[in-house]
Amino acid sequence: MKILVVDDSVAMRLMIIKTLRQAGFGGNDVVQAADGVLGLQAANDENPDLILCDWNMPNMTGIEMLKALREAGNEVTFGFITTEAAPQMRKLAKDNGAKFLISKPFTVKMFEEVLGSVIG
Amino acid sequence: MSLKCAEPSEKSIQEMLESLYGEGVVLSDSGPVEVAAGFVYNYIDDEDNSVAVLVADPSLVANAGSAMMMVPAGAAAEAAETGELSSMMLDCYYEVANILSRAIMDDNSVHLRLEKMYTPGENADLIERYSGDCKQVSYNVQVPEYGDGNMTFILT
Repeated sequence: MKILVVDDSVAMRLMIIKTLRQAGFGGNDVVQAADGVLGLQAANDENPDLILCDWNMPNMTGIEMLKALREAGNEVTFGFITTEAAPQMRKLAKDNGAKFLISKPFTVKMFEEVLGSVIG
Repeated sequence: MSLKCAEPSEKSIQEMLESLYGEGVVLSDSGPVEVAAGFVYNYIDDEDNSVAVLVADPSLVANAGSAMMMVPAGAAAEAAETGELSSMMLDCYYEVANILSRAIMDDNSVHLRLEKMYTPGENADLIERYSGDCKQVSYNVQVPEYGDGNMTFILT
């Protein structure tokens, strides 16, 4: 499986990748992008199976990226990893086609529970 | 006057920091970090108005930032001493500040997000705005296996 990690913080991207490994998902290919614009481009170029995306980013937010993907007919599995944890944000994410939302700060257990059925 | 933001509790901050660093984070009360002297993390509402800042002294940014990516503690101590912080330390502490945004949001607060980090003295408007009579909550944070530093939330 190929996983695209989109976050404007390189530190957070590395933490997500480390946590994926700790949760037992280290055997997958991981590619990275630093904002929604680059994420959208990477989604087209790399054709990932799963996108793990921050919400608040410069240039293009995560929710804007998700909307753009769906408008283009791209139904890739998409989940947020974000500090946006309020019920209305979760609903907004779901309504636009996100499969899950993991709130920061996250734990290895959260990755195991949420991503277990996604990554397999 | 009621606050637009939630007042951060010691418990909520402790839990968030322990999610990042594991057990052993020690919080204690501290004096405020002056807005003009610290790194300023600006939180804005959905209309892009500033509603709160987190002010962190260089020692906290160096130690807490370094611990995120396991930069050697010696390098963190040196950065805290000299005030010369690496981009990795700054980037990592930015994420800490981003995560701590959840500590000043609840069902009764405005929805807010981290807008940007300003280096000490960089943003005169924010310094002026938050140097007045605003609600402040300050803590000293001891980062496990690293040093400590102070932070102050200033809320409107």
